[in-house]
Amino acid sequence: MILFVDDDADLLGLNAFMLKNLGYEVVTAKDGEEAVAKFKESSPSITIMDIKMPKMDGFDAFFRMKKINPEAKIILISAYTIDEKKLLNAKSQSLLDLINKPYDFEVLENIIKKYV
Amino acid sequence: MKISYLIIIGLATLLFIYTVSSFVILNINIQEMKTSEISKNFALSSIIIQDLDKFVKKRIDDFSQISQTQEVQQTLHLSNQEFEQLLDIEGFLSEQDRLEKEFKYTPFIERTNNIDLSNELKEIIEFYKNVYEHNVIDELFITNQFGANVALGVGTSDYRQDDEEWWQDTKKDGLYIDKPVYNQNLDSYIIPIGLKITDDTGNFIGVLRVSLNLEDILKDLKDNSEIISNENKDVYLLDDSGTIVYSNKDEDLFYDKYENFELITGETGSFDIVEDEMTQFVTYSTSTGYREFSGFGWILVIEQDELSILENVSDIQRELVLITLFSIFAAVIIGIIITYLISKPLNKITEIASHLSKGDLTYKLERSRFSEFQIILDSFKNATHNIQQLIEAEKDLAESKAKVKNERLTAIGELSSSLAHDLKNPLAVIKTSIEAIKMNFKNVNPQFQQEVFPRMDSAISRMTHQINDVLNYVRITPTNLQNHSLLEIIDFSIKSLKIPTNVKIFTPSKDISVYCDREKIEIVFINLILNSIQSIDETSGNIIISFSEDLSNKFVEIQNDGEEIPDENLKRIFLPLFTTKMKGTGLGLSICKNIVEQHGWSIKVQNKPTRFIVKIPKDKEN
Repeated sequence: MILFVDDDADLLGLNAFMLKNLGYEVVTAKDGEEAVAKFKESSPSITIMDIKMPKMDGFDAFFRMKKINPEAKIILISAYTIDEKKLLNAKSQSLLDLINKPYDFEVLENIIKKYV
Repeated sequence: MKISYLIIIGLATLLFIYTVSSFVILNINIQEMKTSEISKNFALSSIIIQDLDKFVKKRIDDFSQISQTQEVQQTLHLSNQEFEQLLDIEGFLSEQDRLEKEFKYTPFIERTNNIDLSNELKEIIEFYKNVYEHNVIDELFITNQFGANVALGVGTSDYRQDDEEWWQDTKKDGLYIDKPVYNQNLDSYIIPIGLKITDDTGNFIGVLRVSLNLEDILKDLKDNSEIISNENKDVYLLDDSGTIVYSNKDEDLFYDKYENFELITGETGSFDIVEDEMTQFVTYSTSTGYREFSGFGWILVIEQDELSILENVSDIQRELVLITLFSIFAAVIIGIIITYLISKPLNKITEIASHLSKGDLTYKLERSRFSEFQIILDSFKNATHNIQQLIEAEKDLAESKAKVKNERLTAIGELSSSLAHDLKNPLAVIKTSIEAIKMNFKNVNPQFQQEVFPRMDSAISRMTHQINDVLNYVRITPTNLQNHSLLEIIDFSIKSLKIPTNVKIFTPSKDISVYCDREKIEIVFINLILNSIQSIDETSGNIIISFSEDLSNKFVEIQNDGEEIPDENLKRIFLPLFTTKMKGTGLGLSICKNIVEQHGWSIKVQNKPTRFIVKIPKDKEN
């Protein structure tokens, strides 16, 4: 099961459709808080999450999820600006990967295939 | 031209005019003085000669009275009677005269001579001498009607007088005045006078002979002429033949002929004589007698030098020249002083002005002791102060402009990065969509089109919207103002938006006209309505647009029943890049505010109900 988190509804919807089309089970969330809730609820095998989000950003959600499950597999997507300190911190807690927007869906697909 | 020259020339000209006019007035005065001096001399000469006549008349009157005394009358009467009884009067007189001359024997005289009367005459002489303290009378005797000496007061006299010219003239005319004669006894000149003696009925009964001392006659004249001589006047007394009887100038002239006698005509007059280039004014008056006394024809002449008249005047002329020279000198000095006093502050003012013109506003202004200059200095001070204030204001304005520009640049910088970020999401959508299309190349799954294409459209329109927002914010284009129907603008704005079905928009039924740039105002309403739609979100809600106006303003209100704006956001809502929405650029309301303010309008936001109010002042209308 994949948890996909993005505040952009279009991007979220499109990616969810694509992943479902590839045969994966997909759970979506629109912000960090919802993501953490869904993470607790469904314990996804991998989480793909945008960094810039309202209410709780990707990094904070990442740290919360890691607290819940230190083994959690999480990939972060960044658009432009990145808090380097948070990124280093995240890497130290075994962040699987960081993808830059706009990304090739193939890249995303390969990463998922690699870890799931 | 320097002010100093002007002042000096001005003063000098003034003085020159003053001096010339003074000289002209002085010359007029000189003529006046001459005329007045001559008339004064006229008056003097006639008064003096009249006094002389009066004096002589008085003396003659005295002796006339003596001749009328009873003693004289009686003695003459007796003597005449005695003579009338003689058969040969002429023979008797000749014999007596011969005896007297040859032998100095005068038995007859002693007989005929009245001792008492002679003594009486002697007393009269003594009396005069006592009264006047000098010899008034030199000779005094009386003859009877036949010329025989009857009484002798003083002097030596022939017995017979009828053979003398004066005796005959006296008998004929009643009065005889002779020319002055030198008398050795007195060592002075005398004037012999003959008086006819008549009885009560006017018959000729004898002759009184008296010789008056000239000194006595001239005594008053001399006193006067001494006073006159102080005024540089020469006084001459001439007898009727032009002989000088008296001169206050030179006693040696006595009995000389007066040199200008031929110029004297008539009773009074005046003439000028030129001697050694010096003009003398001569005035004269002839004795015309006093009362019944017909005068003795003497002439009083007063001579006066023109120079002596002008003596005082020439002093004045000399002083005037000196005063003029001194005044011109003083004028130059005063001019220089005034110039110095004026030009110094003027230079100072020029210096101040040049300092100010160079922008040195801190230059210290010293006080001037002249109020006029102080006024100029004060106005300089005010001007400096005002300029300083103006500069300060300009500086502030420039600073605030720079600040605004700076803020704008910062905003644009932030905007760029925000734009870069915000464009990446729609780009990611498009990119993923393309992958999806590739994946479903043969269109195996029709669901793909439904999922992908609307999202691509949405992504492109989001990008367009974001780019437009930025462009609208960055570009400030000039307004193209015209009168427009506001309702039309709002309708158009609504049509250009995709209104969700859960939102209802109410527009006013009554239109108003506004003077505005239509395209810009459309952007304003599109943004405001879009904002309302977004705040309503997915719940159903209403947007109510209404118009109102008061005396000076028109108002447009856009009200919605969506989510309230938190109070802390109310203040920042119009700031650029301020947004609470993930899809917003944070520029929409900022653009609205810019456009509204560019029109001279204003915009504000209020809660309960949530509404934006645009205020359109009526004086901004065409």
